[in-house]
Amino acid sequence: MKFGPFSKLAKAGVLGINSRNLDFIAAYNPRRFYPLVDDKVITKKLAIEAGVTVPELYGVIRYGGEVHLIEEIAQKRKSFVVKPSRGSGGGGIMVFNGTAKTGLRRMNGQIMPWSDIKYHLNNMLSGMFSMGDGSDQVMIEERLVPHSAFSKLAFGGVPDVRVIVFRGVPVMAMLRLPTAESDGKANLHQGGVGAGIDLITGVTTRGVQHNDAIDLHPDFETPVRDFQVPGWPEILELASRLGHHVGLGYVGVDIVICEHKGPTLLELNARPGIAIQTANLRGLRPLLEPIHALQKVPEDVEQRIAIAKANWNGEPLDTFAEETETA
Amino acid sequence: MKRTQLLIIVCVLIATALGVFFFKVTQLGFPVVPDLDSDTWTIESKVSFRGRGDPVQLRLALPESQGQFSIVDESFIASGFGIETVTDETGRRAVFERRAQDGSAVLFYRAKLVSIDRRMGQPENRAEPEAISDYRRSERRRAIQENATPLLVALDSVLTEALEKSAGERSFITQLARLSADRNDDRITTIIEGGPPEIDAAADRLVFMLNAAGTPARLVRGIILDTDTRQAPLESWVEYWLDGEWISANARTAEPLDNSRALPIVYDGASIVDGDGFRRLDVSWSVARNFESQLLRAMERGEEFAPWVNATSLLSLPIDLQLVFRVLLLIPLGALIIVVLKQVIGMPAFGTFMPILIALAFRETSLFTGMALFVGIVSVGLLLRAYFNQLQLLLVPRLAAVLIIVTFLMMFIALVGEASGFQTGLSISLFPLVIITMTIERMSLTWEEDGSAEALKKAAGSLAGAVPGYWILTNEYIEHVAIVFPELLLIVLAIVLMLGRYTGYKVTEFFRFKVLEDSEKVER
Repeated sequence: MKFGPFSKLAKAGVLGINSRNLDFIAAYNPRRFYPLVDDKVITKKLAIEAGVTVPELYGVIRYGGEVHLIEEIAQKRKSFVVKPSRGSGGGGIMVFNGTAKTGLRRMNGQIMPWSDIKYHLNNMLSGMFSMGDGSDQVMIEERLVPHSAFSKLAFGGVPDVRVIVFRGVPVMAMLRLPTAESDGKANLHQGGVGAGIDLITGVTTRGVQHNDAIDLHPDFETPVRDFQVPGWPEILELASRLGHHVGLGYVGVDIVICEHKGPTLLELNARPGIAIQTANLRGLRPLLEPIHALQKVPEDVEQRIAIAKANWNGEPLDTFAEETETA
Repeated sequence: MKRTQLLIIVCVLIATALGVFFFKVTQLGFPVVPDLDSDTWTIESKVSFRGRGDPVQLRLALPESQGQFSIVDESFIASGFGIETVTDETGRRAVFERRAQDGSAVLFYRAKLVSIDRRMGQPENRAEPEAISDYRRSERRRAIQENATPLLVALDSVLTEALEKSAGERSFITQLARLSADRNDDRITTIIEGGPPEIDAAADRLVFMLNAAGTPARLVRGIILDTDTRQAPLESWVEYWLDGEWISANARTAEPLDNSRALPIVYDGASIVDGDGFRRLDVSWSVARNFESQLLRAMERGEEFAPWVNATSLLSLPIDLQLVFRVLLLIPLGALIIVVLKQVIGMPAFGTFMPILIALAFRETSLFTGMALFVGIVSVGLLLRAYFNQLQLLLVPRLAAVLIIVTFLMMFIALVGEASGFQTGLSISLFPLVIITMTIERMSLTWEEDGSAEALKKAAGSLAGAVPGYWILTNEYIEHVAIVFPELLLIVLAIVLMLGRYTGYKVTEFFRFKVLEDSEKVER
């Protein structure tokens, strides 16, 4: 498909959505594994199995009749997150950090009245924010406190690191920073800032917002380049370990770097977006193809991370292929 | 592996399609472009009724192969019924008989008609009427004036006025029609009171007056062949004898009608269907302009050399089914457009096939009124949806509420349209309600979550996708090719299958990743 005006994109190694869907998602992600990542309650169990840090689950609301549970949890925990179990694109997520007589306090200091909260919970239960049709569950989880290094980089929300993991090998990563415009959400298409990360060092290389290159965070005017992401080796290990364990060949792992718990799994994504390429100013295809060509991927996490680093530097992976054969 | 399988399937599909297509075009001579001025028609009458278990005899009036039209071919579908055609003083009739009929039954009559071109010098073979003594002759006028009943006096006055105001036979008829239609005229009221009971109706009155004036005239019920329709209304008009031929004319104004389009079925108030032993009778007529004679010839040739062509041809279906397929066969093309827009161009839109469903709805209106109605209903719906959200309703009841409101909106538009003589209002009754409702819901969700810009972008994308869809769904040439050569849709299937394995970039990605392309240049 290297013709016409697209030839330059092909030369840059850009992975298009059609190719992502057919060559990677359809080829490497068996449909039957989708519920594992689409349903966050199952993902959490799976992550605990793999020995990965996850946010603590306070409770699950399954039916409209259980909506009152939120009051009990609010009394006990004060600070928590509600999210639809099968939500997509961050829809429906709401963060509370305190209680009041009339309702719960949101991160921006506003009090949300109980009636509004229950209405919102009912909307989530009826599947308004969820993938597919039909009803959903609502999870009530620990609110993750982002690492203090992010205090001047994330506006009104929790920043996270998205790592694309292919056959258990991390291939590309970016830091996603919420802004005033994105309403505290870290999603790029809602106006969040994406920053490309050097996969070896964990230092950000450049930032983008709405597809335009930026050097400063739009709200704080702090530089988004050359920022050392804290706990980078642990992040790589978490992503690689979970990506390998979950059975999906091509997966996006979203990680929050927590002040107390360190890198913590937020969620998995079976159809990770391709915007990460603009954040890194690098096409995914040249990074995916050598791993696609590997006969076998090592079981050992350390070896997979070594492959990831060599791959990022553009080194040939032949040596690793031999190692696995002899081992 | 998957790729080779797919390639084989695609090749087989394309080869089959082109093979059948070329065979039909070169060997059988099927026309590739439609002849839009063709004067052949197929009419079909569908008679449905319920029997009471008694013997049934049902007599259906049939068009006659004389005058303007010539019946090329006709057939009946009436399983279990004995059929014969008889010609009596009221015209030609088909008689369906059965010893006992219980429950519902449907009978079909189907005829192919050719409108004879007068310029070819076709002899007029309709019976010449008996001469009636002409009012304009003085002895008849005297006779009327001597027998001065109120009816005759009024009649005399009207006829005299028409005669005085006219310059010839034709303008006399026009004047008479004008006078006859005016019910405020005291003379006309007198004629209605004194004359036979049926002349209360304008058409009957005109026939009565024309006959009184000595111009042979008769009332006709029949069908005006115009566009393809599954519910052709039975119309009434008059025929009068002028310069040695019967002229079909409007029952009110006596303006001549297009003879090649007015198909008479019964004369002088005879019933279309009569008989006994049945109830809940329903007769409907459908009309379709035939494919030109070239196509008929091709079908005849097909009958001889390749019967399978005709057996698989949609043209052998009943007309009302054919009319359905004329739309259905275009849907694959619409689907192809959607695939191209989504996979190759990357157009944002709500839902997968929504643009094509919107285009189908526009087919019923027209593009611009359709767009205006769509935008109008969706915006009002959005406002209401926002209000319902404040009332804190649950998802499904809220959707249902929006659905009901949209129904009311459409009712309102139809009523306003009717009151202001704006015809398009009615045709939106086929506007897909649920689709509009889902659009409103999805659009308001996108609006809240991703902002107004994104929502408007997607709405514009949906509408923009509907435009090429509309163009395809209304194009006469494409419609012709689709129904005469349905095998070509296999090519559409082949293209769609190929695009299903398209891993190239989308046009929108070209802009999205332009930075990467440029950076590549800098690095090298």
